[in-house]
Amino acid sequence: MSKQLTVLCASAHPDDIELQCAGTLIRYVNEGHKVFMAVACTGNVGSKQHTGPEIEAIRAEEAKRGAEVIGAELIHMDYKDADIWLDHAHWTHYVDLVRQTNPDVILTHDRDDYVHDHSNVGELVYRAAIWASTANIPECKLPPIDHIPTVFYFETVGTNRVAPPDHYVDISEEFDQKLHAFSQHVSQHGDFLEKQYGVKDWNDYMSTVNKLRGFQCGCKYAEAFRVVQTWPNHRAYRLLPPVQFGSR
Amino acid sequence: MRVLAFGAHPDDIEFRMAGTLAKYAARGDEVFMCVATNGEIGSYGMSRAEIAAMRHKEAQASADVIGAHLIWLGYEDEMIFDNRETRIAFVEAVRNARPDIIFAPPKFSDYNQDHDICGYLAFEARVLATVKLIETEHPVIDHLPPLFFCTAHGGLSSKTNPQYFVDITETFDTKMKMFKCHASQDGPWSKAAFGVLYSDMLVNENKFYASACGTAGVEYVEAYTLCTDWPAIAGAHKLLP
Repeated sequence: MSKQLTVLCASAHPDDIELQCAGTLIRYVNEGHKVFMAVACTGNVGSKQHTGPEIEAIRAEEAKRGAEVIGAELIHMDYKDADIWLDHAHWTHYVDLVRQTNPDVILTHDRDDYVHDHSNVGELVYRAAIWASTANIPECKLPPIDHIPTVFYFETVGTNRVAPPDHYVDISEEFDQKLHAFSQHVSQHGDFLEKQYGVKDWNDYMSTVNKLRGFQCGCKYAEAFRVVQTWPNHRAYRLLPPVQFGSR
Repeated sequence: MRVLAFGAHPDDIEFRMAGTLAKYAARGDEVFMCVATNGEIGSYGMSRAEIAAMRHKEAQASADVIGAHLIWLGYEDEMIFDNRETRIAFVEAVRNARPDIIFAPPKFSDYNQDHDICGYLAFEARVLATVKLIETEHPVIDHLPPLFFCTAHGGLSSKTNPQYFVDITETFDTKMKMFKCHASQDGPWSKAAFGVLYSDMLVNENKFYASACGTAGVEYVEAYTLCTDWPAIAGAHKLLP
C-alpha cells in the first residue's frame, strides 16, 4: 500500500459529512491523504420556505463550500431526497463510485440509521466496497480495482441502536475548522432542521456529541466510528488518523 | 408514589438519576436514595475515615435538597460483593422504601465493579423483597416494582442502549445543586483520578441524551433501560415522570 491513502466518505445528504466526520477528514487532508466526499442526494426536500429547485441549488453551493473548507473533492451522485433504493441501478452506480475513487478507506452511514436515505447509502457502499474489485459485473462502466477497501461507519443521528463505537479520532485541534465547514450549510440551521426536529442549535448538537466522544476517549473533542465487522475488512494497522502503516 | 434509587457511591445517584428523582419529589412523591458504599477511596488528601464521614454528610445534604430519605449502607468502597449479607441489606432497603419503582446502575455493564454489583444486588433484591420466607427486620412487600437501569459512566455501556428518556430540563438546576453537594469529588478528585471535571461530564451526558431525543424544548435528559428480566411489569414506563 502506498503511504498516501485515498479516502472515500459517502453520505446521503449535503451536511451529513460535515456533521459526522469532517474533523477526521481534515486530519486526513493534513496528513497528506486524498479525500473524496460523495453526496447522494441534492437535498431538495430540506426547506420549509424554498421550492425544491431553489433549495437544491442553495445546498449544492453550500456543499461546495463545505468541501473546500475540509479540502476534499466533492462528488454529487444527484439523486433526489428519499429516492435512494437498494436496487440494481443504485448498486452499480455505487460500485462505479468506488472504482472511480479507488479508496483504501471508506467512511459512510451506519446501515441502521434513523432514515432510509442514510441506511441505504450505508448498505450500498458497504456492498459496493466488495464488488468494486470483482470482475465481470456487466453493468458497471469502470474496470475493477485491485483491493477491497476498509469500511467504517460514522455516527448515527442520536444514539446508535446497534452498538457503541469502537474507534475514536481526536479532533480537538480540528474542531474549529469542522465547525466552520458545518456552518457553510446555513440553509439547514434555523429553518428545516429546527422546524422538523425542534433542535434550535445544530452547532451545539454537534459539539455535544463530539464532547461526549471526547470524554469517552480522554480528549476534548472526538469523532467516533464503528469498523465493519465482516470479512475481509480488518487490518493489523490503523487506517484512521493518525494513520499508521505496517503492523509492527 | 414511592420511589427508590440505588447508587454504588455517594454522588452516583446524583450523576445519573437526580433530575428524575427531583421531578418525583416536586410532585409530592416519596423518594428514597440508597447509597451502598461509603466512598472512602475518594480522596488524595484525607484518611479513609475522614473522607467517608465527609461523603456521608455530602450525601445527606444532597438528599435534603429534594427532601429525600437517605439510606446509607456504608459498605467498603470498591469492595462490595454479592453475598448473603449484602443481599439481605438490599432487601431491607427495598422493604424499607416499599417502592412503586426502583432505579439502579446497570448490572454488569459499567466500568466499575461496585456499580456492577450494586445494579445486580438491586436486581436480586427487587424480587426477594416480595418473598415472605426471606426473613428480615422489615416486613415483606406486597407488590413487585419495575426496575430501571440508569446509563453507564460516560454514556458507555458494554451491553445496553437506553430506551427511555426522561426530560429533566425543569429540574436540571436542582440536580446540579444536589451534585454540587459532593464538593469533595467534583473538582480536584475527578481531575486527578480521570482528568475530567465530573460536572462538565454530567452536563454533557444530559445534553447528549436530550439531543438524541430531538424534541422541541427538551434541553436535558436522563436515560434509562427497563430491566426486562421476568417479571418486567406491564406498563412500567408509565411510572416514569
